[in-house]
Formats: sequence, C-alpha cells, structure tokens
Amino acid sequence: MKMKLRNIIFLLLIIITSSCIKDISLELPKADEKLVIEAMIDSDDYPIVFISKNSSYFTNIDTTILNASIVKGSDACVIVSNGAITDTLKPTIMERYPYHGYRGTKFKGEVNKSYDLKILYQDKEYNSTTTIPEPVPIDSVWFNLLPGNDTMGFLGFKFTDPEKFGNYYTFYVKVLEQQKWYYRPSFGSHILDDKLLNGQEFSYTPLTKGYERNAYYHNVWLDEDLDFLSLVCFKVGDSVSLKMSAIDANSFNFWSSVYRNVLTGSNPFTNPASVKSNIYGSPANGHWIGSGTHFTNVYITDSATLILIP
Amino acid sequence: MKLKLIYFAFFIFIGLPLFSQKYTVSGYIKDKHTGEDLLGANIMVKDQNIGTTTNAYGFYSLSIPAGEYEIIYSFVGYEEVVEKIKLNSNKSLNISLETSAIISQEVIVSGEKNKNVEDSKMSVIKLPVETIKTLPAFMGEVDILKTLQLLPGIQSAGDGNSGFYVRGGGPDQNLVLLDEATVYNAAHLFGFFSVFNADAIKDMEIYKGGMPAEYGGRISSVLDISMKNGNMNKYQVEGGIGTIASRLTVQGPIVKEKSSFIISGRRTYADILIQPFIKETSPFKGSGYYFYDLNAKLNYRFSDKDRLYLSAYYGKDIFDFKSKEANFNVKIPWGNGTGSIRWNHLFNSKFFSNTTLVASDYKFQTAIEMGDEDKPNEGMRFIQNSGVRDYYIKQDFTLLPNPKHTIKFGLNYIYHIFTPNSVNAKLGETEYDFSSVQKQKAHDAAIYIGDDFKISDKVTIYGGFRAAMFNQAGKFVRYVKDENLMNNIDTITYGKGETVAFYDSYEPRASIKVSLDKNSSVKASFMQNKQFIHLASLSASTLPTDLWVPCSDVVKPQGGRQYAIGYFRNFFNDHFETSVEAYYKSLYDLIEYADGALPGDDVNDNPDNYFVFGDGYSYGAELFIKKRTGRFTGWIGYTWSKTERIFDDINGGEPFPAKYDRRHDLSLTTTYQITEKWTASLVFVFATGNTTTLPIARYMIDGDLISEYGPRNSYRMDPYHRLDLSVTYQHKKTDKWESSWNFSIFNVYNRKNPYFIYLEDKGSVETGDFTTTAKQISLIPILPSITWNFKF
Repeated sequence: MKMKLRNIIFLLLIIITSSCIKDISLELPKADEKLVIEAMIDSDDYPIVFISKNSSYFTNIDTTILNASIVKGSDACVIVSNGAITDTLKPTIMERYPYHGYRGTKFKGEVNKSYDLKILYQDKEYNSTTTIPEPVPIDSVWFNLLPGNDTMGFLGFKFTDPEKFGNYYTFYVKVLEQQKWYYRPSFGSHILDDKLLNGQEFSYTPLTKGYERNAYYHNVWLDEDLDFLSLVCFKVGDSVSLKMSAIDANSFNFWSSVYRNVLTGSNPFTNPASVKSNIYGSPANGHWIGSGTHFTNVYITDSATLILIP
Repeated sequence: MKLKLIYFAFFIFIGLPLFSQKYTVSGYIKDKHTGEDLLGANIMVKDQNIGTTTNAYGFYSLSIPAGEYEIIYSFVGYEEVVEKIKLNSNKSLNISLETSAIISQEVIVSGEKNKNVEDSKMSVIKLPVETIKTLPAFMGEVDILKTLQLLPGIQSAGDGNSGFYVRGGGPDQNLVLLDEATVYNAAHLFGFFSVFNADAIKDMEIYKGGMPAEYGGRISSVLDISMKNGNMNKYQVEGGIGTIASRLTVQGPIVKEKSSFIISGRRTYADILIQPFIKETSPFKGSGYYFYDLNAKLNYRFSDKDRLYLSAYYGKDIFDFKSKEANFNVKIPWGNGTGSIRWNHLFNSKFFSNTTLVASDYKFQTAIEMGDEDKPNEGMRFIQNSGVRDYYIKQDFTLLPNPKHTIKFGLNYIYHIFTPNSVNAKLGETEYDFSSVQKQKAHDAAIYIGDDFKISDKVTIYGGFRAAMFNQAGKFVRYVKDENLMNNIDTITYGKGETVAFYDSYEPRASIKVSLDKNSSVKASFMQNKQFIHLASLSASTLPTDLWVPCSDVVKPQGGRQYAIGYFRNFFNDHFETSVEAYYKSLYDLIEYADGALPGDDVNDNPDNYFVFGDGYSYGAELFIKKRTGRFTGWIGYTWSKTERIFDDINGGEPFPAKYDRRHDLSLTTTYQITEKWTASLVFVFATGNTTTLPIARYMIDGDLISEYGPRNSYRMDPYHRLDLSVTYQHKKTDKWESSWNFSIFNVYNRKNPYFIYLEDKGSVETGDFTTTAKQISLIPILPSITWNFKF
C-alpha cells in the first residue's frame, strides 16, 4: 500500500510540475555485456530455455541490434540434468519472442525433483538449480461480466493453500485456439505467496486476459489505437486455460523483484530495485524456474456461465 | 577512566573560588516595550574584562568581589544601559533595554560585538528572527529553515526535499527543539515551508558541532528555537497577508508585568482560492492541499524566583484527493503537535533551575476510501497510521559560582511510543485491524554535566559529559526471517515491560578557545554522541512517509564523532566577522532499506527486518564572511565537503557518495538599506548537484523491460543555483500602527534546477522509431510574491 501511495505522489508531482520538465542528455557509463537467461521446467513438460543479451541504455535500438542480442542455434550449449540423465537441449523455433530457444527431448519435469541447468557460451559457464514443488489445484473458477457489458468480463478462481507455510504460486492464462502461449494476466502481478493466507481458502479476482508482451516492439500502454477492453477481457464464447503453478521461494523472489523493478522504474521516491537472479557462475540476468503445474480449462457460455472442459 | 579524572579536576577547579568573598548581581534582561526576555544579551563589567550573557530565559548572574562597578548591559538592536552599582551584598537587578532607533532597521546577522571571536563555542550560529524577515520570502513566507540553509555547513537537498543536512549528516540527525519540545517533522509540503511561523518565534540557535552536553539524542546538530513569550505591557496584533498564506498573531498581558500570552496562526489558502475555478461538475471537486500552524504560549511570573511557561504547537498538512466518478477518496494528513510546561526556579542568585514536561507527537496517516456512499457495506476503506509520540521530563540546573564558570548539569527521561505502520482496513462488511501488535515502546534517559571555564583572559575551555541509555520494552514480537527475507523462521515474543534491547552511550564533549589578540582566536572542539532513533527512508528524497524507528534487538544506535578546528577573526572594528572551520565527522551504524526492499504491511513482520547497516564519514571546510553593520550588510558562506557511506550490502560494499554529497556549496546574502523606507535584499545560492542512481543497461524478461542499475549514487545531476530578490517598503511608523510591503522574486532567472530525472520510452523497434529520452523535472520556476505585513 505504501508503494501505491508513493506512486500516487509521484504521479501527482509529474502532473503539477509538467511545465518544468525538460529533456536532457545523460552520459552514462557503458554497461558490461551480460546474458539474460529465461529457463523453465514445468511438471510433465520438457525444459525450455531462451537466451538473449542486455543492451546499454540509450543505445539506439533497431531490429539489427535486437536480433544480434538473441543467442540461438549452436551459439550456446544448454544442458539440463535430473541427476540421472543429462539432456542437451535442441535449438528450436518458439511461438514467443525471441522466437529462438532451446527445448529438451529426453525427460519431462517431475514433481519434487531437482534439476540442474548448465549453459556454455563463449568460454563462459552459467549454472543454476531448481526444484519442482507439489502443484496445488484450483478448486473453482467463475466468470463476471463487466458492469453494463453482456459479452466481456473477467475470471476469478479459488484454491486452498496447504497447511505448511511457505507456498509460492504463479498463474498464467491462455485463450485456447486464439493464443499460442500461456501469458501473464494483463493486470496485476501473476505471483502470490501464502504470507497472509497460509492454510486458507483464497479467492483471486479479477483475473484478466494476457497478451504477448514485447516492450521493444509493441508497448500496449502507449498504443492509442488499441482496443483496450479486448486486450484485457475474456469474451463469451472463449475457451480459457488457467495454469496455476507452485514455485519455490527463489523463483518467487525473482518475480517479485521483477515487478518491483518495473514498478519503480525511475521513480525517485523509491530506491532502485535490482532484479535478483538465481543464475550463478558467470554474471547473468534471469532465472531457472521449476513449476508444479495444474491446468483448469473452461468454456464461457452465451449466458456467461462456465462449463469445465475436462 | 581518563574522563573521570578530568571531571574530578573540574570540580576541584570550581570548588576553590567559592570560598573567596564575592557577591552576586543577577536578574533578567528584557525588552522595555514588549517585556520579552532577551536571550544571549551581554553583561560586562567596565574595565574589568569580566562578563556573561543571559541564558535561554533571559537570566544572568555575575559573581564578583565586593566593590563599586559600572555594569554595561547590551544586546544587538538595543540601546546600551550602564548601571553603577555598589556591591556589598547579593543584588538583584532586572534591566529593560530600549530598542535602538538607528540600527533597528539594519540586518545584524548574529550576536554581539566580537562575540564570535570571544565565545568558547564554535560551529554555533544564532539568528534573530528580525534578520530573517528582511530576506527574500518564498511565496511571501519568510522561513527560518530556508535561511538556515544559507549558512555554511548547513544544506538543503534542493527544492522539494524536506529536512536539512548538517556537515554530511542525515536529516534525522538534527535535533529540532521548539521551546524544548522535539519536533519530528520540521517541514510542510515537501520542504517548501518550515513548520515555524516566524511571527511566533523569537530566536534560534544552531550547533553544527561542538554540541554542549545538555543536548543529546541526535548526532549531527541541534536547532534550538524559542517562541516569543508575549507582550507583557500592551496588547499587540501582528499579521501578514501573502500570496498563498496569511498569518495573525495576538499577544498581550494577562496581568501586567506578571503574565502574558501569545497566540499565532497561519494557514495556506490555495485550496480555497482555487475552488471557485473548479467546475461544480469536475470529477475532482473537493481535492486540494493546505497546511496550518498554531502556536500558543502563556507565561506567568510568580516572583523573581519562579516563572512558569506553557507552550504549545500544532500543525498539519492535509492533502485531499477526491474523484467522484471513481468513488475514490484519498486523504493524507500529517503533522506535529507539541506541548511543554516549564518552570524556572532560582534557588539563589547563582543557582538556576528549569524543569520541563513535554509531550510531542508526529503522525502520518493515509486514508483511502472507495465505493458508493449509499452502500457502505460494499466499499473499501483503508487507513494506515504511522508516527511517534514522546513523553518527556527534564531537569536542568545552571550553577554560576563565579564569572569563570558556567556549570550546567541535569537529567532527562523520555518515553517513546513508535507506531511503524498500523493498518486498519474494511472490505465490504469485514474489518481488518492489524494495529495492535507492532507498537514499539522505549525508555530513553540521560544525565549530563558540563562546565564552561574561563581559565584566563585568553583561554576558555568547555568540558562536558553525557551518559545516556535506551531500553526498548515489550510487548513486542520479533519475526525472525530467513536470509531471503521471505519466510518467518522463528518468532520471539517479549512480554509487557520485558527488555527487548538495551543500549548505553558515553559521550564526552570538549572545546577550547585561545585568543590570539583582541580580534582573533583559534578554537577546536570534539564531540561524540549516539542516537537511539533512525528515520528509515525508502526514497532518495525525504518525504513525510519516512518512518521513525527506534533501536531494537536488530537495529543498533547510530553514532557520530566530530572533530572541528576553526580560526575566527574580526576586521575593521568588528564591522566584518570572518571564520574558517574545518571538520571531520565519522558516522557509524546507519541504516538504509536493503536494495529493492519493499516493506509490506508489517503483518507478521517487523519493518526493521528490511534494513541494512553501514557507516559513513564526512569532512569539509567552511568559510564565513559577514558584514555586521552599516547600510550594507550580509554574508558569504562557502563549504567544501565530501560525504560518503559504506554499507556491506549496498553497492557491493564499495563506498558511495551520499545523495547530498556536495563538493561546493556557496551562498551569498545581502541587504541594502536604500532609504529609511526602502530596503532591498538578494540571495544567491550555488551547490554541486545531488547524486542519483540511474540504470545503465536493460533487458527483457517475458517481454517486460528490466533496468540494470549503475553503482549507487554514481550519477551527479546538474548543479543547483538560484537568485532571489526582494524589496521591502516600510510605511511611516506611528506609535499605534506599522505596516510594510514585501515584494519578492524567487528564482529570478528561472533556473530549472533538477529535482529528479526519469526515463521515458517511445515508439517501437518494428517501426524503427524506438527512442528513450531522459527527462529532468524541476519544481519551482520564477515565482513573484507580495506580502503585506502589519502590526498595531
């Protein structure tokens, strides 16, 4: 809440002082090049890894520079091990930016198992370890129409947190047959912990539709032509898949630092928030996250009720 | 052990002269017209080089051998009074001084002739309020804190930052006292105004170093502000109507010569003036911001031996944001309230006592309401409180055995109640109250003794010692976190009154003055002290949302040590005063929030779990040149300094500059009396830019842009500089009526001083127009103002 208050003050100050804004040029030190690793292993699925590089602030970013920052194909060697089997991931075209990634072929993630990640790139080695926690099922899902609208609305869901303290969750949504990937909801964060709800039944609403985020190519918040409602709302007739995952504390830490970083931006009323990484070895940004997943698929009927898709 | 010896030695020194046959002349010095006590007035024995000054209550005492003397009573801006006395017994002599017609219009920056050279204290500056009133006023409001920041060694962090910074210390390290009551938040509206209404203030004194032993609890400075007592002789009304605020002060006798009162109020009215221009249908109707202050004081003179003072201050900032459409309402009030009762008692002409009882309160609240007023069961209400409340008892004694010694000793006790963040929320029909657990209570006590000892005509030394202790007491629950600050791995529960943490502090203070000749002296000082409370700030700037937190089982007291040396010299028959001071200050056990820490709602948690600890240091040199007298007066202050912090957990353990680290800080203040009616003044300031932390690289995580930050405070913003001008037109004074107009222009050449920098992205890589621009926000453009002041 404090966070929000600071943001309110920040916004107000920007409004009040809008006449006193001037563009300046900054001379910032050049940053070291670092890998950005987005690596995940879900229960019942093969590991997936995306690798890119950071870029200095105020570099004139164009498609050539961005493409050059994507690590793909034989540039890197990505290895995942479950302790018994070692799998060298295969370079693959993916349906998500940066469209080039690496996917495993030898084993799928299993609950309560640990996985080691090793990446070799230009004489440097990057390592990490993650665990797939026990998934927690969604108990029920519902749909609420927007007030004054009879086709669009938001979802809500309920689940029961296990009795033991220290459970962390992510949730993603995908409109089946329309979207290619599970996306984070457009509004709010996609993470939860059980600090306040330990052992209790918890309701989450509104759960909004997700979209493919790509800040370099398309910042939806700056797009004035965008139909905002269709970006964030589910529609009558949509089939939606909810992916609720249990993750470990490190992974939760990573995501919460991402949200802090994005929210604080250059807000002068907060200290800069660095994103924590669970990659060690050579310095890198990013994560290696194991998720114990649970899927719930629903169909939104004409009468705005839900039918569970088995 | 060494210290004990020194103290033992002091008592031997002061014990001896008590046996010689001496008599004491003592009394109060006051203004003839208003009956106000004059603080720091001079008492000199003619041809004897013996003298003293009045204390904070206008009392003086001088013990000299029997004989006939001429005693000279003087105070800046007043006619000198010479009294012939025949001293063959103890004598009580109260003196009233007449304001001097000729020089009352002049700005006299501080103190008395040669005082800066002769006083044993260094790094202390005294400013009468009359000085401040002739300087350019910001939006028509003369301001004590703004003027202070024009002195060397005292900095502002720029427009829009409350708090002031003394010799590299943080804004929480200044003890601000208003009639001996601690003021926790001295600023209104992000530091644009101070909470001190100049009409109600008599005097102020700031110690940048060499803090005497009677002050403690803060490691950088003491700002001691005295409120006026109220006119003892006649009723008087004084006020001002300004661009954004108005003031009114009424004072007068209750019983002539015995008792008087003063009541003073101030309120801004931008919120009211603006309302008629907001359409009735505007979605934001009712939104606004204002602040007000109320000062009141009563005093009663029972006899020459006993006086009682009651002082009170109450001030608030209120920010109100209403959005009818969204049924959304935010109200953020914050402010201080203080009250003090003081009783002066003279045991005898050499032994002065003051007993003080204080209650002080600072509160910050956020109330957010959402929902339809007609459907109270469906809305949402969220109230968050934080603050600190003190109850304070203090006993001070001053012993003046002979003109060579001024001995002060005493003790005090404070009971603190800290409310870090208590939340009360209502969602629909469900009430959530998280307010009871987290209050932190503490006992804070100290004893002190100090002696200002004039060893010879040339050498004066001050030695003092303060011992303090702090005890955080239950009820209290400590939530022990794992190393990621994620999970509670343990809880420790302390029962009512049980000790959670105990700290003590032993604080030697010393200074020495050696006169080189009549016009010059060298001084040196040392002080060591500890501070049991911290101000935790999530932001780089000081905001009212910053949290006062006490020492606890995880937070140690912050400490400081300062060494200073200075050379003081007056020129041209004291028309010019100059000084050069150099200091080195070390600070330890400072707190900061951990990198990226975002303390939540304090449910099952303690805010101090998110702190990291480190040290700091600052060194610098200060130059001060002042023209005291004549039609053209003013001063130049220049500071060269360096201030760094070292935290294991910030910046990879590398030292980093403090936000307000300044290599250069220059201020120029001048006043010129053009004619009897017209006075012009000018203020110019220049300061090295503040530091800030900016991102140096970025990358994408799941399509969101993430910033990678450079080293902490490694970017320096543009320098801050500004010129202010003002003219004051004084109407012809009559006995019954006085009035003046003040025209001020703030930031004359419209300098866009940086407040902060933010970065903005536009366009898309796909269309080839992706750009990032850095934008600098400035707060105050050129700003003229008019104030009409009156007095009758």
